[in-house]
Amino acid sequence: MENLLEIKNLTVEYHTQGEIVHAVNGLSLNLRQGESLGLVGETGAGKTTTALSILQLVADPPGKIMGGEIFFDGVDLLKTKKSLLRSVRGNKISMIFQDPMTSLNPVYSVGFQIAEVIQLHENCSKEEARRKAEEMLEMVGIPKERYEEYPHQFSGGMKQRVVIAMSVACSPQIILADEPTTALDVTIQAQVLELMNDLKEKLHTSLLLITHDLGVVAQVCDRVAIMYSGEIVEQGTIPEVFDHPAHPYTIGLFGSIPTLSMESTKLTPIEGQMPDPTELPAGCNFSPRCPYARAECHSKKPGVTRIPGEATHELRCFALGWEQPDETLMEVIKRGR
Amino acid sequence: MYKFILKRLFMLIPVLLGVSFIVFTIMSLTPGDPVQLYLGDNYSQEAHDQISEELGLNDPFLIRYAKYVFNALQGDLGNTYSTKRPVTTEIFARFPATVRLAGAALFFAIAVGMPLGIVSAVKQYSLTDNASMLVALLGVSMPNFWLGIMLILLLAANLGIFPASGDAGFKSLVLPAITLSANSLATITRMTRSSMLEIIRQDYIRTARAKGLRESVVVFRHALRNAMIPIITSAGLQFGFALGGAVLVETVFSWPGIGRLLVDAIKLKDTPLVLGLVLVMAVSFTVINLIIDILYAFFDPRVKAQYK
Ligand SMILES: Nc1ncnc2c1ncn2[C@@H]1O[C@H](COP(=O)(O)OP(=O)(O)O)[C@@H](O)[C@H]1O
Ligand code: SF4
Ligand SMILES: [Mg+2]
Repeated sequence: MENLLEIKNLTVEYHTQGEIVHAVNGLSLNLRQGESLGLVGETGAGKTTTALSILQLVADPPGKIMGGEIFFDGVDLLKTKKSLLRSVRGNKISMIFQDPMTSLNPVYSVGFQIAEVIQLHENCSKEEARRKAEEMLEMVGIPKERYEEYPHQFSGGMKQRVVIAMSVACSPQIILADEPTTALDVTIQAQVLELMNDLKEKLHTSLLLITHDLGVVAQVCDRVAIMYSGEIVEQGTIPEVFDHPAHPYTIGLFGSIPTLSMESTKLTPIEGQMPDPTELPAGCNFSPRCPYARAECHSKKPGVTRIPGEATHELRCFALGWEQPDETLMEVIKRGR
Repeated sequence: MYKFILKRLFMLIPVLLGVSFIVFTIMSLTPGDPVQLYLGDNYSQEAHDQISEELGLNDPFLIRYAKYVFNALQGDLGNTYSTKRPVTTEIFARFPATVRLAGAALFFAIAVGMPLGIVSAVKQYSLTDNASMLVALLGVSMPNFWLGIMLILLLAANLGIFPASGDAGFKSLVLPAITLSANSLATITRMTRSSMLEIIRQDYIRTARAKGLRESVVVFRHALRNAMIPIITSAGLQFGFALGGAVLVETVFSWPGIGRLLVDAIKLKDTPLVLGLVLVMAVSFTVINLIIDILYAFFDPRVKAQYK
């Protein structure tokens, strides 16, 4: 399968009051034609910033894309002309934002907001755009009679349906979905997810699904990338990562770290917090929390290695290369989940 | 919507009753003898008594007020003491000039202030932003009459581009309108800037950009309309005040508006004229407020939904 989107070495910082937030640190990630890739990580890992960077929607100021390349259709989106970027936005790559309550403009009807993107990219008449927008509404399960209604007349789940209709209206090649269901009621979450899955199958769209819910990833995605402190620490196919998580952070996420103290049944699977993004550690970003960290982990940054014997499973960790492996860690990796 | 407008216009009745009662009370409590003014040089004791009787000044306070309201309801606001012509005639001789001046000032303030505010917000902390904030600061801190005098000295006396005083066509409107608009221009600029800065940070603006819209469409279609409410509010209030007459500007430019008329009427204790002017101001202020509210609904469907 060919790579539709290639992110190479992306670095994004937020410059605020004399501090530099290192939000994304040399991140590389590929998205293939027609695949669904889950991007998983806790709040603050840099998931939203990564997705925003693809369309250059990072708020500037304070955000700055410091370096890297983002190839789509053979061009580096970070270096291309504004006009070409605009023809990609909403047309070839569209984005669904985290909070449907605030992502629609309160003063325009939902129908208009869908028709607007259609008319912009499809070069069609107003009437045609309207007809197509009505079709999109019906497609996401909203009667077209509600075309003229305003966002405040819709519930959160309905608004997210409108946003989804807007994002698929121009049959994009890629949809970036930033925690599309996090802000919704649990019952609505499943419906919206199902809708997205259906549309994706129907339209053969590639999907970058950002979430912190591993269950959702297992349900929807082909591959998964685990993000920590602005880096991808592990990625692979769903079976690869889910059956044999190998990075200490991923293992922690799955809650499979054997603990010495019996009473350790906390909800947070890993002790401690993500490092302060304004002061990242000198070594491995996970080293302050890692139960297997050794001296070199605290001084050097681990690179990316392919796990021997697996087709696409990659890891950012020293542990597999150690001459004297950590028995416990090896045990966990071998045993799997 | 129509019901809403009717309801608001209906509210005018208690407002006008209240306003006229208060002014009536104040005028009758303040010292000074209007009959002396009325008679001028023909003063004599008999004439005084006779005129007092004619003007109904000997009646008890409440009777006088009731008579005033009764006549006012039939469109008769009485005659002025100073010119003895009907109050309505006097006011409508001057009110159009005030409307013209206030309108021109509002137009100028919006035409300059809104674009300045928008550019400042879109290019926050840029040179343009700093420059327009400086202009705005000058605009609010500069006394009106001083600006007026400076403009007269420069553009009228020295360069002779515009007339220095009076009301004779468009050219004579320019300087007083600019002078009067200085404050509102500054206020509108700052209001537009802060309102736009707040809106531009909203998620739906990012959504608009994510659609691939041009930045100008994002700013004018998606941001500005959301930013309008505070802008309309401040522009409307400024206009309302300006309709009440701008005494200083009218004085500096000898502009025949109702601001000076009111000051003169108060000085001369010309009760019918004062009352008439205050009523006209109250009506215009209420109507302006109503227009502001209608504009809110025009710009924001959430507001419209409340006007049932
Ligand atoms: N507008 C901003 N200004 C300053 N810091 C920001 C801004 N947006 C995000 N950040 C910081 O960047 C880091 C990554 O944030 P984000 O990309 O939103 O992560 P995620 O989506 O994974 O929760 C966080 O530390 C966050 O505090
Ligand atoms: S590199 Fe070291 S600190 Fe980092 S995850 Fe691997 S073992 Fe832990
Ligand atoms: Mg996020």
